[in-house]
Order: sequence, then structure tokens, then C-alpha cells
Amino acid sequence: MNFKALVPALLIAVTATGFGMMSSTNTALATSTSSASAGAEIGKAAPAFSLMDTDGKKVSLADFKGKTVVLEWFCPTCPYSGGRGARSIHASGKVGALMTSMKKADPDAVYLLIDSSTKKMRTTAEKLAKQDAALKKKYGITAPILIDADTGVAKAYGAKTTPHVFVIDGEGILRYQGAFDDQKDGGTNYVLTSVTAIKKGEKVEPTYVRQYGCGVRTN
Amino acid sequence: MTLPLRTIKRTLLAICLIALSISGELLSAQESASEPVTDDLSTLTGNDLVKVEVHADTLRFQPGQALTLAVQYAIRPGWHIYWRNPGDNGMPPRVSVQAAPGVVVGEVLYPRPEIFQKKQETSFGYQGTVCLLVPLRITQGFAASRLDLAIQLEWLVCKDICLIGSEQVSLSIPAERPQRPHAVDPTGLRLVNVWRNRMPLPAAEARISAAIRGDSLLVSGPAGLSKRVLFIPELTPGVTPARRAPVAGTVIGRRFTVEIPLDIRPEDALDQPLRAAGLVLLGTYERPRAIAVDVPVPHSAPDESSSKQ
Repeated sequence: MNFKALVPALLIAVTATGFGMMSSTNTALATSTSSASAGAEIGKAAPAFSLMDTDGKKVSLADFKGKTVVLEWFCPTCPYSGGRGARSIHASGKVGALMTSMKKADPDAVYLLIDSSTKKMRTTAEKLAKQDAALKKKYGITAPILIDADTGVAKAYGAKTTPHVFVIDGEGILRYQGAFDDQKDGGTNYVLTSVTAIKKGEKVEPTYVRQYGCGVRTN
Repeated sequence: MTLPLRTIKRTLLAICLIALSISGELLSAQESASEPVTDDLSTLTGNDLVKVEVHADTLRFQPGQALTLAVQYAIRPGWHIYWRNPGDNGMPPRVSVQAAPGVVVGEVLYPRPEIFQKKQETSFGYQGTVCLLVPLRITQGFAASRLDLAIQLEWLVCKDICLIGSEQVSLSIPAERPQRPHAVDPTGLRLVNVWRNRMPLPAAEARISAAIRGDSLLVSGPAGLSKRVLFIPELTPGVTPARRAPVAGTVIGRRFTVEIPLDIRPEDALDQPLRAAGLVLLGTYERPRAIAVDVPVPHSAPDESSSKQ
């Protein structure tokens, strides 16, 4: 047997195995044929969920049957969501103002925040709940913040950013999803327009505006 | 034939060293993946992570002249900012140029972006250094002795977490002195020239054809030496790819074809005309060929394939 010839082959094999292991963590460009709108779909039943809020209370979508429900994906550090700065929809008072307007448009509408940041922030559900409870107090957030510990609800809905909003009518049908607003001073808040249209029995338009903000990590 | 013992020992040592370095890479990757995001967010800002400079390609202006601003972002390694269409998440950089009447500010030009693809999400943007270009035109009647520009910049920079940075930059460019040669800003001109070459070409210039067929956008043209073609969409209200971006096409011989099924929802168009637009990417990021495609989408697109049957 020619051992001298085997040596380079062995070296190549070991190196290739190593690179193979490393490149399995690099993503080859995936050009999936799956639908770009994976997750909750407009006009279809919104996925059911049951999550604990920051007070340890269980909250389910089913609890609000017959009412319009707004879900807003939340992250305590994202500068567009729970983070600091003028762009934060909570720190700037935009959500507070929205809830006041929403109450006038539909007094029975429900607003829930969902935090799926455990993987993104590499933290535990307990620590996240504590962090969110402190922010609730700081910003005067009255809506419950639900902790999506295993990010399963974010996956089910296809939540991509914080904020990313979903408006579900009283029959559990998703009527709008996407951006919280058009980001203009005195501009359009798509949550309010959707809740108002649903209350009046009108068509919700638009049904989708591209979401903006920090990424929601589900893996 | 047997190997000398020394050779065997050296070979085994080499194999062990390679194996150790590979496992070290994997271990550090795992470690960084499991570290909590502790970051001292109380002090870190988007301005710490991105240094921005604005250069004009000219030192002096004259009425009727076109000039270009280069907005340069130097991004800390490991972090990125976003393209005009950020993708599944993110926010495009904001560049707002305020000028006196008589100055026409054009649309911000974005060079070909990189694709950042993870399992569940895809975004488009830039890392390292990138320049956005802003074309300006001074009308013939502009009589001021100085061109004063107030440039407001805001950007989202992300890694595991995201931070916003902002800057306000003022430029004041004096008018040309009579009978003096035109004064260029060499730094600005170099930046503008370098980054202009990385801007996508219009489809017509690249001999690309793009049309709506049924509910799809069909793009084809010369592939050059490229073996791979991808399409990434622009933000077009009411029209989104029905397939997750980037959409891969096929290259046969020297021609490519890419078909992008579209989800067309006029009710989501926000009163804007329906368009299918995006970039066809050929080549590589380092040696890019990017072609911009933009076609109107008929409100009720005819189904050509069924009519052919």
C-alpha cells in the first residue's frame, strides 16, 4: 500500500470534513418555493394561542371571542418598540394615544402585546417578564404583555418585526397585519383605521402594509 | 513502501492541528451563540457603530450645474444597515436634504445590497463601508452666492440588537469664481465615481426585458459570465413576490430567465399605481452586475398562458 499517497488524501478528507461542519452553520442562499406570506393569513382564522402575561396570568385568544383583538409584537430593547428614543412607539406615547382613540372607536376592542424575544436576547421567560413588567410601569403601558417563551406564537403568526401588528375581528378572522403606522407626523395609524372599519362593518383597507422595525428571532 | 517515522509523526501532528482549529471555530461559534445579550445599552448608540460623512463632488457650484452628494457610512464589523427595501425586518436609512428654492434634490441612489439570509428571515443591506448618492441640480436662475444644504440622516444598525443613529450635517458650497476653472472636490468625486459604478443599471441599458405575464413578473436577458441569477424586490405597495426572496432564476448558455410569481392586492396599494420592481443580481457583490427592473402591473392582469392553450 502506498502510504505516501494516502497522507495528502487523509489531510484533504479531514480538512473537508471540518469545512463541511462549519459551512453547515452558514446559510446557503435558500430560494424556497414556500409562500412569502407564511404565517397568519388575511381573511383566515388567526392562530389560537395561550400565553402567560408578566403578572403570571394566562391569556388566550379564545378569551376575547366576539371582540376585536389587536396583537402588537414587542421587544424591550428595540428602538421602535420598547427601547428608548423618539422612534419608540411606546416611549413616544404613540401607543397610549392609539389606545385612547381605539376606545372611542370600539370600547370593547382588546390590545395585547406579545414578546417573543427570549431567543433574540438569549434570556429566560422569567427574566424577560421581569424586564417587561418594569417597562410597563415606566411607559404606563396598560395592555398586558404576553411572554411567548418558545417563540411558537411568533412563528404561527409570521411576526417579523417589533412592532408588527395583527388585527383580528370578533369572529377570529385576521383582517390586517403589518406596520403599526405610516411613520409620518399626523399620519395614518393602520391599527386605528382597521379597528374603526371592523366596528363599522366596513372593508379593511389596506390589509397589509410592510412591517418595520427590529427582527423577531424564532430560531 | 513504509514511511519514515518522522514523516508519520509530522503528518499526525498536522492532522491534530487542523482538527483542533476546526473544533475551536465551532466552539467559539457556539459560545457566542449562547452568550446572553448583556450589552451596556445605556451607553451604546447607533452613532457609536456607524460613522457618517457627507461629501460633494464639487468645491464650487454654478447655476445650471448638476452635482452629487456622497453619504458615506462606515459600519462597525459584525453590524449592518439596510437597503431601500430592508426585507423581512429593518428600516432603510433616511436621508433628507433641505435646500433653498432653485435646487432640485433627486431620489437617493442605493448601490447593490448584500443578502443577509437566516433560516426564517431575509434582509438586504450593507456592511463595511457603503455610500448612498444624492443627485442635485441647481436651476439656471439660482442667484445665491452660496449653496447651503441641511442634511438630516437617520439609520438603523443591527447585529443581534438594533440601534438608531442620527446626524445633522451642513454643507455650504460657494459659487464658482468667474473665469476660474471648475473646482472639484477630489474626495467627493472619487467616492461618487466609485459608488456610481455599483449602482444598478436600468433594464433598458442592460438589454433586459421585463413584462407581466398573468400573475408573474418575467425577466430575461444576457447573463454574461454569470452562472447564477437572483431577484430581490423593491417595496411596491399592493404587489409583493408570492415566493420568498431572493427568487432564483435559471441561466442557460449566456441568457438568464427569472419568473417571480406575484401576490397582487390593489386594496393594499395605498393609492399608488401598481408596479412590480426589483433588482436582478448577476455576478457577485465584489464584482456586481445589478439591473433595476420596474414595470407597471395591470389592475386585472390578462392570463396569457390560459389564452395560449
